[in-house]
Amino acid sequence: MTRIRQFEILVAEDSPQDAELVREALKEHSVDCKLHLARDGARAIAFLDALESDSAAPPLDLVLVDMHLPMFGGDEILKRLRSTERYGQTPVIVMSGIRSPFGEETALRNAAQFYFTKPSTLEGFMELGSIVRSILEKSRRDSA
Amino acid sequence: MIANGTQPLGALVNGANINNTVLRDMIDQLPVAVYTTDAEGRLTYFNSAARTLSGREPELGTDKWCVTWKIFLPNGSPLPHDQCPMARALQGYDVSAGAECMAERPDGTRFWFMPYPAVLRDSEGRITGGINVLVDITERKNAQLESDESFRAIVETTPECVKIVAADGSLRQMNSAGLAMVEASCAQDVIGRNIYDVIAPEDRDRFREFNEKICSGQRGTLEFDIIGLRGTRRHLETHAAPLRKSDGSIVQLAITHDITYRWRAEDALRASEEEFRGLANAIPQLVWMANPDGWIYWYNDGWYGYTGTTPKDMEGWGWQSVHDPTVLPAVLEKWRHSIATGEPFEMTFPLRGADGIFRPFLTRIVPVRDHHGRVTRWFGTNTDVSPQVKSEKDLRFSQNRLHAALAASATGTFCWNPKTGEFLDFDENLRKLFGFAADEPVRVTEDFIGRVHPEDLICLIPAVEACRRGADFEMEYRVILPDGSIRWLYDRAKMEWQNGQPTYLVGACTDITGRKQSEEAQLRLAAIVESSDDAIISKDLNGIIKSWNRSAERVFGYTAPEAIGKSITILIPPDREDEEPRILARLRRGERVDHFETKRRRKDGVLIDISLTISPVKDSTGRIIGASKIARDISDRKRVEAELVASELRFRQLADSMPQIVWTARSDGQVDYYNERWYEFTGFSYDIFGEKSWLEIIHPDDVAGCRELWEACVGAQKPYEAEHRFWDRHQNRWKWFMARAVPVRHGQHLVKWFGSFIDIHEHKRIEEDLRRANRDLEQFAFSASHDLQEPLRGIKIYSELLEKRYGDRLDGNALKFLGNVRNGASRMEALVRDLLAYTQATKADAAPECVDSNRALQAALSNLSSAISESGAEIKAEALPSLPVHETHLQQLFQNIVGNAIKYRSPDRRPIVRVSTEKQNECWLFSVSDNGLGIDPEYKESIFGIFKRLHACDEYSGTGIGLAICERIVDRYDGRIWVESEPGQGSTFRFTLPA
Repeated sequence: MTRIRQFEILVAEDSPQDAELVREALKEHSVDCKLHLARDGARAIAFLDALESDSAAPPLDLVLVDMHLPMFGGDEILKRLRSTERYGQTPVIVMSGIRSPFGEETALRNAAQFYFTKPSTLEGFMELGSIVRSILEKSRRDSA
Repeated sequence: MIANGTQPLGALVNGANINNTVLRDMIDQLPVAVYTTDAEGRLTYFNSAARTLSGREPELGTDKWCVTWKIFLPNGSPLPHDQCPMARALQGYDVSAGAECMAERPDGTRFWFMPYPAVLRDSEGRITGGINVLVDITERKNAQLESDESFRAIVETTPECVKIVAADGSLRQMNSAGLAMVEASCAQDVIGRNIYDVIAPEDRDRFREFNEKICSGQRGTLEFDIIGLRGTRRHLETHAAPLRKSDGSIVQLAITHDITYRWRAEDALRASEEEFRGLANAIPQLVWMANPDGWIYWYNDGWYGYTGTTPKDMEGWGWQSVHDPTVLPAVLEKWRHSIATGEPFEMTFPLRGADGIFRPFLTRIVPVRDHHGRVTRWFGTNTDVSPQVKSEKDLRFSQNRLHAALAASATGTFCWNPKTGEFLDFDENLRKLFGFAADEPVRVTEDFIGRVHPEDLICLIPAVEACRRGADFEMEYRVILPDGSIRWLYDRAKMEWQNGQPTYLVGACTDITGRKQSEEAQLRLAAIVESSDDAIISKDLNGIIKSWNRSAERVFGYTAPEAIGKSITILIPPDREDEEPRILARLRRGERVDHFETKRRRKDGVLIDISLTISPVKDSTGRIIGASKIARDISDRKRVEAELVASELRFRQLADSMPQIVWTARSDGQVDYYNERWYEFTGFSYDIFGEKSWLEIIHPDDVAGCRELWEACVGAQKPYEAEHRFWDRHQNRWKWFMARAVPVRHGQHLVKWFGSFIDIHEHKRIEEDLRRANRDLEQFAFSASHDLQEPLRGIKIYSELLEKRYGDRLDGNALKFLGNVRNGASRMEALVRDLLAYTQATKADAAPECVDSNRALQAALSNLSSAISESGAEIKAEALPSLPVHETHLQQLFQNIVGNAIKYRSPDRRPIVRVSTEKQNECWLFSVSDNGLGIDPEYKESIFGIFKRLHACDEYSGTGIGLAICERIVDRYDGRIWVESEPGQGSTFRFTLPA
């Protein structure tokens, strides 16, 4: 993998243990990235607003967002993101603690690339790194 | 110049002097009058059509403008010569072409024309002359006037009132028939005045309303009374239509008939009677009339004149004073014989004149009979048979007198020669009665017979034949008028004799159509009264019975002769004596008494229930003279009503003793009864029923639903059931009630609704609490399972991570402990998952559709595939039915029960599971049997309890929730689940679900 720069990834996740597991999964699959962590929906939206108003800010390559966040839920963050000019096309992975057909449908309707039900095994969770990696590689190929 | 046909006429005539001969010839031959003048108006040319039209030869160069014709404006006023259209044009006025004028020729005839004058000018614009073209419009004008005139004539001569009334009621136009109707002597009396003034006061508002309706553009018919300017009341029927005027306003055009005769049969009768008396007074004989019993009540003037007596002297049997006492006994005897037998009387006897001299009189007395043949009166004549009275001269003289006397009345007279059949006289009135035109000859008998109705000829021809032989003539017969209408005539004629030979038949004839019509109407009415099932009685204002029909005989037991002439009080029981004065008082005020229910006494003393309708009877002047009374025997109805009341009372006593609110409603849904509980609950008064009784206390949100459902149930006659809230005034809050009502039928007919309100508030509250608790539990279980799963996942994954990263640095014990942490977390995860499934088991809110249970079983087996292949289990399933259960529920049932069958299999044999169904009434019985360990009967109830396990965790995995979920699902569909088992042999789980 030819690296031009580190990937910029926003992780919106209220559980520190899950955020740590996301970091482990990315490391496991050698995704070279800078993680921006937001612990609730309001902070995630504030982060996106800040990026949007700063033209010098680095691009955002991926957003990982938990469905059930304090303040604003994952679906609202997704909607907000899709309404910005700059990040309208940014890939998004929605994560959820429980399998919910309704949540999955909502996420995919709002153009999420993947709906990830958090597994209860280490191996299952580490799969997330592989999914992130393939999405990033695909989007880099598409924009190249 | 001539060749150039496009030149204007003005140029052609060259300064108003038509000197070109060709042109002159041409204009001369025009069929239109043309003439020209010079600037001063002197005639310079005059074509032949102008000559024909004007009827004179003008003097060219002298006659001016319009050759001195006498000209008139359309309104008839003469127009001065120098103001005629041509003169005005030459004076420089703008004369509108085509105005209509009339002119008179030298021979006095007149004609209508339209002038088209034009001024001729030279190149400088100076007037050089004039030209006028006259168009003859006499024919058109005459036709128009004739049409107007004939229309007006029709309106004027029609016997019906034609009038135009403005929206404000002012009378605009009225024909002579109308003027006669309102008794105006000329149009000025009423035109412009308000028509409402002549409408009878009681009809004025109705008429005003009617007029407004017509003037708003509708048509209509109205009957009303007027009071003429001379005070005569008439009953009229008007047919009116709106008439739109040129200014857009609408007025009423009405044609009105006098239909008073229909209402005043008695008046018509009296009028005819009057006419007869007029006639009788005019004839030269002495004439009188007597009652059937011989009581003379009327003499003609001739009688009083000859005898010199007064009506007072003559009344009754007073006539004997002018008789010759020696002859009188014979007269009396013969007269009494006639009265007794109804036979005609004829005798000659002397009567004393005012001069004291007795003269011989031929006296004939004939009975007048009604249609039943009963003598209604006697009609007598005394004819002076002294020789000198018989001269033809006298006859002529008396006829002249007769003519004069009868001119005013419509009575027609004639004189007929029985030998030749010729009419010596057939006066104008008679012509009118027969519908002969003034110039139509009526010469012989056949002329007159030709008008008589064929049906009446059968009697008339023999009567005429009898007249030829000298008989007198008296007959009522019909004539057919030229317009096809039928008129009834009453014809009386007396044969004059001379020297023993009949000489002339002199007669008089009157129109009795009105009387006949009223007689017919009375006969019809009488038939109705006689055949009525109700007792119909009339009485005067003193309560004396005047008529009594057949049903009255039946109802009250008195015959007509027994009742007529008696006081109505013979029917009134002693305790109701005050009723009659009250009824009479109301009648005197002109009021009606409708359906007054009371008791009356029959002749045999039995009291009967009757319903009375009493109306005042008025005479022709509107004065109340009595009453007609219709009595209906309602004893049977009363008895049934009384029984009904008794039955109602029993029902109410029962209803009042019930603890619920009980009510009844009429078949149309109107509540008409509540028991005592209702009044205790609502505090309402006892007179509020129908919808408003419950609308007052029902919760506003429940009104629409309850009303709609109740109306639908009443319409469909189906039982009603609804839950709603009523305001409880004792507890000051809304309370839930269950309303139920069932229709009560009598045969096919719905007669009543029987309903109740039951307080279900407590029940409702408990139900609501339970629902809330369940909802809370579901909510709790959902969030708990989600929130509990998160940390469990953390424990599991991090213990794995710990082992993976640091496993090589941990000793055996540490690794075993870490394994225990992971197992505990996994078990807890399963518990949380099953707990969620348990709470969700009844959550599906939507009504289930029919699902194929085969598909649900396959889905369950596919989830169990690893356990099946691991154990080598054999699943034998019959074809299963489709049923209305959520698919996830069915799948969960199969998965848990089949899963258990595999899990608790016998170690000695290969597990076999059979799934089958059986239809039982309205449900399906499912059976899942296995050849496993079986269950001790002791536990066959408790295994369905939550967290209930029969084995240790390390023997068999499981949370102890599976069967609890199954029971909960089956419960939701009102089904049942149980187990039948023989330990060591196997178990059969059975459950029922709706079909």
